[in-house]
Amino acid sequence: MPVVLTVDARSGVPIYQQIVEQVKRSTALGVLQAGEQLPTVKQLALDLTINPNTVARAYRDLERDGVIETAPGRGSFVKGDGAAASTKLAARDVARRAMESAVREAKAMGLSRADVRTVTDTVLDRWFPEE
Amino acid sequence: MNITISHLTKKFAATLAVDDLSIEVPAGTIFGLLGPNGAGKTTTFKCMLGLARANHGTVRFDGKTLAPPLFEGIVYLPERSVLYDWMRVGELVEMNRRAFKRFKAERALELLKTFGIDANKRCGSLSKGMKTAVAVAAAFAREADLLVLDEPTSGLDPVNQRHVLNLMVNEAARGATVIFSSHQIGQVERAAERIAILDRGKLVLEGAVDDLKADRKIVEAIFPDEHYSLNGLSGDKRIGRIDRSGRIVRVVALDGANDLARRLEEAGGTGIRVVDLNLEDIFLYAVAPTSARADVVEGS
Amino acid sequence: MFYVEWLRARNALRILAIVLGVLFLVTAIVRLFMPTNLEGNHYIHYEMGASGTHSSTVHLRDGATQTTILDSSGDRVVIVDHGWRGKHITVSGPGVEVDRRANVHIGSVRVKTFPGTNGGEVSVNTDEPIPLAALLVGPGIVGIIIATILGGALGKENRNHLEIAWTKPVSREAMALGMFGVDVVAIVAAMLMAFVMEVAGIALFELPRIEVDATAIAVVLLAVFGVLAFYALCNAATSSLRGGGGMKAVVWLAAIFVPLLSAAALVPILIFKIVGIIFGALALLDPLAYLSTHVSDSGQVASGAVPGVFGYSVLSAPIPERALVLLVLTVLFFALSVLQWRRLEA
Repeated sequence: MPVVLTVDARSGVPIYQQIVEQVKRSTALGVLQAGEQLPTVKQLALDLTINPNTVARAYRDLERDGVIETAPGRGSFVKGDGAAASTKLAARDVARRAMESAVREAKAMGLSRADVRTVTDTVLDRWFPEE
Repeated sequence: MNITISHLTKKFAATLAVDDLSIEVPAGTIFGLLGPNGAGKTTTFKCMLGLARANHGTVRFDGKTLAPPLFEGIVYLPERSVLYDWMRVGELVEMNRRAFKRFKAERALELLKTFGIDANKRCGSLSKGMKTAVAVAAAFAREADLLVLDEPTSGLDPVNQRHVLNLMVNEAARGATVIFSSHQIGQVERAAERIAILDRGKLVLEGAVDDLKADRKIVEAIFPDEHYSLNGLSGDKRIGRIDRSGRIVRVVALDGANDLARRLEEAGGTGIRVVDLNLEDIFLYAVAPTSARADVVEGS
Repeated sequence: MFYVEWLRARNALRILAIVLGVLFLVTAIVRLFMPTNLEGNHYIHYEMGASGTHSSTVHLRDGATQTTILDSSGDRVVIVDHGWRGKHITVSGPGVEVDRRANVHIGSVRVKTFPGTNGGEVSVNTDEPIPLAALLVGPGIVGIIIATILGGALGKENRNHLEIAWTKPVSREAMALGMFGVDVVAIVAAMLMAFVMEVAGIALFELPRIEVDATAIAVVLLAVFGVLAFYALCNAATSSLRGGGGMKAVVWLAAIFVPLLSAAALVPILIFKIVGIIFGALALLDPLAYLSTHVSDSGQVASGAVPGVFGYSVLSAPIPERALVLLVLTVLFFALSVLQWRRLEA
């Protein structure tokens, strides 16, 4: 398991959600490869000093979203076939979340729709210059 | 081991130490009991284990009432040290070995080693933290079904505190139920799956930590002037409290924060923010409403 | 399950073993350096030192030596020395003034006096059997000290340890009785240790002969049950206290003074009589009162001089009856201890 998961227990974001997001982000970034094995529930619980049921809940969510699959007795793996799709799904999820909070902040500070679009375009130009 | 506490009540003279407390702790859960000093946490533990007699109510362990044989699988770690000061640490291990069939003496000695405790020392010569560590080492070598731990990290340094939390996680992974209390909310927040908050003997909040965090938010809005109406919000069960301070309003949402944010916007609010609450915030809102409100208002 | 009490008992017995060992060592040293002239006949030669003293020694068939010393005035001393097995000394003659017959028995020594027309006779035997009751005084005192140390076992648990004692897979009643059982065994062992050491100490000087008669079992039971009843009383007095060390001191004082105060009934003044009767009744619950025996001239164990209540005094009852009452008291105090303890809260 090359990916080191970390949780911030003191944050207001539920711990299981933090795990779900990190696994999704790692899959989206390709840090977690298809077929790669995730730590067992107990191992991850001990590594992070969090409740095993919380880890199990995160794994259930990841399974439901098609990011991982669990083979009884063998462990949990990043889904092989259709990994790309789930990766994309995961990536969208992560991206949408980040953008949503950014837009909300922007709006709260009084930016108009047009202002936000201008800012978005600037950012897009920087990260996708070829298009 | 599944624990059902129903209508537990304990009176000391005129005060109600535990007031009609009902909690269900599912098997295999790490359950955190929080509350200010004197909230009734220790009394609850003692009533659960028959060390104090409840005036009213019942406690069931997998549906059974407490009987001596159940203590084969139940561990109680009291808040303050109850070790025999004249006893050597090794003798304490031996005492446990003789009393409990499932006790693993090698495991206890191994844990003592990780805490850096010499088994030849007399318990009375140990510091407060080391006494806690001795009791912890004995408790986690019991292979218990239920561990009732009252402040299991008191007096320990941060490294050993984390070690104790990890031991609890390990027990839960084994399928044991762990009920613990702690003054350090951060520990409960990290290790507990479910929590109950007691205040003056009463249960004020219970639930899964992650659910509480997911549901409970503060929604903040700024209105153009002080004459705004929030009539639409009053009576909504999902709203914990509304704090108004000039043009700023902060609403504690128990659920549906996004919906609430939208409604505040419709009412003419701007600068809408949805703020996550960590367990400490949730705790303070639950047990000390007035001071917590002042803190939130002035700290903005 | 009762390991804690076992450790307490072991520690107490360990200290007792050291104390008894030291006492035995001191006795042995005294024996080694005892002036040898006390052993032989030199002392008597010295006492009768005047001129004209004759002494002759013959060896008897049983291995003893018989020394006869005669002085010019006709006084005679006959010493039959059986060595380790003891001596018989007879002093007679006109110089021996005896005004009445007497027969005194203390420990292994018996002194008899006979007045005669021409002087008297005094005989001293050092090989008399020692009444068992006399030999039990030492172990009894040791037993009561150990009973005091171990007594209040439940009270000790009450001070901060109930969380441990009451979360073991055993009922409170069984826990308490098990602890008592451990202590009872330890107390009897302590008495046995003291008895063995006492006999061994005597054996350094002379062969100990113990008078075992028909009352022996009853006497032993009286001593053991007396000590155990005192242990049980210590528990009954402290089972609902946290600690109870101070209460044990009160128990000691009460156990000593209650029987003494019951003697007030002998004073022919009403108020004294009433006080005496009250304390006399209380004394019935006092294990030590039943042990206030003394060894009479005849070597029999007699009751103490404590007056009874309403014309009946169990204190002057026969030994088996008193032993039985002490056993009942032990059981009663144990029951009281458990009843108090089980209702406590940690």
